[in-house]
Amino acid sequence: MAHIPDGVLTAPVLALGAAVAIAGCAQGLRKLDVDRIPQVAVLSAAFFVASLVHFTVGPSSVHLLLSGLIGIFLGWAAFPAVLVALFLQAILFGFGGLVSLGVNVMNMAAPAVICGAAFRWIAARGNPRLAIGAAAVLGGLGVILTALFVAFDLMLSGKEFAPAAKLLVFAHLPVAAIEAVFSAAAVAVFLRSRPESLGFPETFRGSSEAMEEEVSP
Amino acid sequence: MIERASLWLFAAAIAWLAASAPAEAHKLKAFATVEGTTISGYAYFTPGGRAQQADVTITGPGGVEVLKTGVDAQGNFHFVAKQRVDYTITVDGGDAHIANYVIHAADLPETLPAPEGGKLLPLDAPIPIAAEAPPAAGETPADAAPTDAAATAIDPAALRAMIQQSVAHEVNPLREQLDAFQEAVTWHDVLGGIGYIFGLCGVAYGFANRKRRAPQAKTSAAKAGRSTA
Repeated sequence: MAHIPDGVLTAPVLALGAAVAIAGCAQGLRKLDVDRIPQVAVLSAAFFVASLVHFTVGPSSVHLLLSGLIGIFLGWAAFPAVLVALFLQAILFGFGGLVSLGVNVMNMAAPAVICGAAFRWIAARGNPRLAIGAAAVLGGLGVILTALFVAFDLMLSGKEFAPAAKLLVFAHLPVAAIEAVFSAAAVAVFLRSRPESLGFPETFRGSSEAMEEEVSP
Repeated sequence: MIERASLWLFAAAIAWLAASAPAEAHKLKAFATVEGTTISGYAYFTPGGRAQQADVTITGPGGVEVLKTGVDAQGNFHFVAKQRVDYTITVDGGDAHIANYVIHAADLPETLPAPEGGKLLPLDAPIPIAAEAPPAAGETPADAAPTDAAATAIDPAALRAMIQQSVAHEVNPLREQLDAFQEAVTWHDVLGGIGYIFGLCGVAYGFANRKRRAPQAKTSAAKAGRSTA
């Protein structure tokens, strides 16, 4: 679902998606620190393959999205990461249309940026346990937000919002649960090895030894 | 300079992917075959099996809607063609999944009329396939093999229809296989894509570093110039 093919959306929605994608990518590249480029590439690659991990839910079939996770790690840089991955998915897998690329980038990267901002805000309190909990909630929330964005696009293109949103959100609840666990695990690992990439002070690395004992038995 | 943890993350994603082999793209697809005048097909996700909830719209040339139906619990749909035209089957899952499949006029029996003055006939709502099957089965033997004498005087049109039907019967599984194969994502695609991402990363990193080193290079070049002079 998250990859909307060509021929579903109307022109104004496509234009809106393209505008948001371009603005987001410009902002993401402007804010991108050179040393973080490899991290963006790794998460872009993870996002690229994540959509191949699929499962059947009720009458539909869903796959991993990782929109919350990449937002937590990348913030605004989620836009260029998602753009590259979605472009390659479209040309290599036939996954989503090229005309609707902008809308698809918006659907996945905008929730990522929202989740990322929320995570930074919570992480600023400096409590690692709270940060891991927030990662779980936001990792799941990213998926639900993406589902709602898709339903919203469909509504703007003349379909009814409620049935599409219900269908999309319910089908993605298992995905949200899996990504909540995945995001929490990833954040726990990063808090130990590179806390500064998550908005924690670099000195935190030493002081998180105690937490490490608790997290990994 | 990729940290151990991000490698771990990436390895986990790869492992997850490997566990869910075969690797295929996820999208809705429609497939249909013609046997006689009956067009039957199904909607499916690659990967993920049949789509159990979808609207099926049949349109003629120019996008004129001739039938609106849906898939059954197994994702199947079928209808009977009334004219020898290109029928476009559009399957809409309602959740931004949409797929098209075109049945070409050439695949339909020649006995069907061409549209007169471009006027398309609306199709009838399909009857359940179980109820439809017996008359279809009874029809062929009556036409095809009554007695030896009749067999020699077989109607060329009927013979052609029979040949068409049996060829379609043989070819349809191949078409189905080919259609599914086209959508399968191979490891080349996956690894190629990852390669592109890291290649792009390398280019971006290289450009950024060149920009950063440019002032240094200028001073060292000046130094080199001074020493040779």
